[in-house]
Amino acid sequence: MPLGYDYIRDISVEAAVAWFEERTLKCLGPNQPTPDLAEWHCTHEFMDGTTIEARIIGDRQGVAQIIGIASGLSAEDSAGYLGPTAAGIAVDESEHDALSLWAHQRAVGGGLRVFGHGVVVQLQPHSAHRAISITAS
Amino acid sequence: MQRSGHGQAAIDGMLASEFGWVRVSDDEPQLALFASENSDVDMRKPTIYYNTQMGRYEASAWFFWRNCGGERCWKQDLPFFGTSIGGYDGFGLSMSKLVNRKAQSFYVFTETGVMASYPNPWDAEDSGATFRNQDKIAGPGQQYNWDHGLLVYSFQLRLGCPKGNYKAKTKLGHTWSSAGVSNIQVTTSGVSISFTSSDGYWQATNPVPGNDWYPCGT
Repeated sequence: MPLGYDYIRDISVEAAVAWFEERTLKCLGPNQPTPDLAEWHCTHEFMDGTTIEARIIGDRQGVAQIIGIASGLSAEDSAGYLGPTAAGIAVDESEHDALSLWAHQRAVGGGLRVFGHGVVVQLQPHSAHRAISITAS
Repeated sequence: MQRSGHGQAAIDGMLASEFGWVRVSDDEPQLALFASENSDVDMRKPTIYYNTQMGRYEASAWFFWRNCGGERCWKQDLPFFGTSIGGYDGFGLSMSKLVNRKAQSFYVFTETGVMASYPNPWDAEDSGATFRNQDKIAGPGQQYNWDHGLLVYSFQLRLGCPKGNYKAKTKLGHTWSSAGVSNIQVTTSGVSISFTSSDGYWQATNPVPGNDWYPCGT
């Protein structure tokens, strides 16, 4: 494994892209994961102009980081996207309820929590352009 | 058009505007037929209200087709013949905790707001409800009956008010060509859809799920 980063659990780039595409985001990036890190950029712009994004950074071995961004959404709605949807692919299904509750409780102030398998989820405080970062510890 | 002196560019332009066929390679001429994608719809966040007059909760969810260029994106799926776009489409709403189901209804609208209501669900459970019906082009303006839709699921909390997250989620299944929705079922895990064909369809889940809601505590 290259120095400087770990992979998030055992999720593949393909699974992460499929996760976001089922949730109406359109993803652009290499057709296949490459030996070196590459980025897949997924976006959806709602008809009211608000947008949601996901940046998946990974290679053939797995996903090193996911960054979710919500622009123009309320605190509650942005937490709803950034928590259960953006971080949902990285967190084990058995912890989805805990992830959902954590994001709900930190909808305004944000926070950091480590879930099982060393998945580090860091949610920014609410703003017009708000992000969540998911990495492996 | 060729016989009457039109160039290849004009022919290609006509094919693109009339049929949605776009030339994809100059070296090896072929036609690519575009179809819609699930990113062509906005799946709105489900919301839950309390109906004080009826003494029950109402979970509601919308979907809207978007514009692709100057036209609605569903136009990419128009059939060569007939008015139906593929077989049945389906839409469903699930609750993450079991409730006491009271009623459910589904309304679809054309782009100008002409409404049709579907009183009979395909699946109706204490975990949500689904509907399956034919989407088609109809009327003098060639409008699409499933341009946007609204599902309303009415329920009461169960006796003893079980703790947990009563979150609502939705899923839309759209088909074209020879595909159709064969089954659309609901559980507390979500809505699952089966299709009659291996292609000619997509399904979409709302990216912003319903708000977490703990009416009986965590």
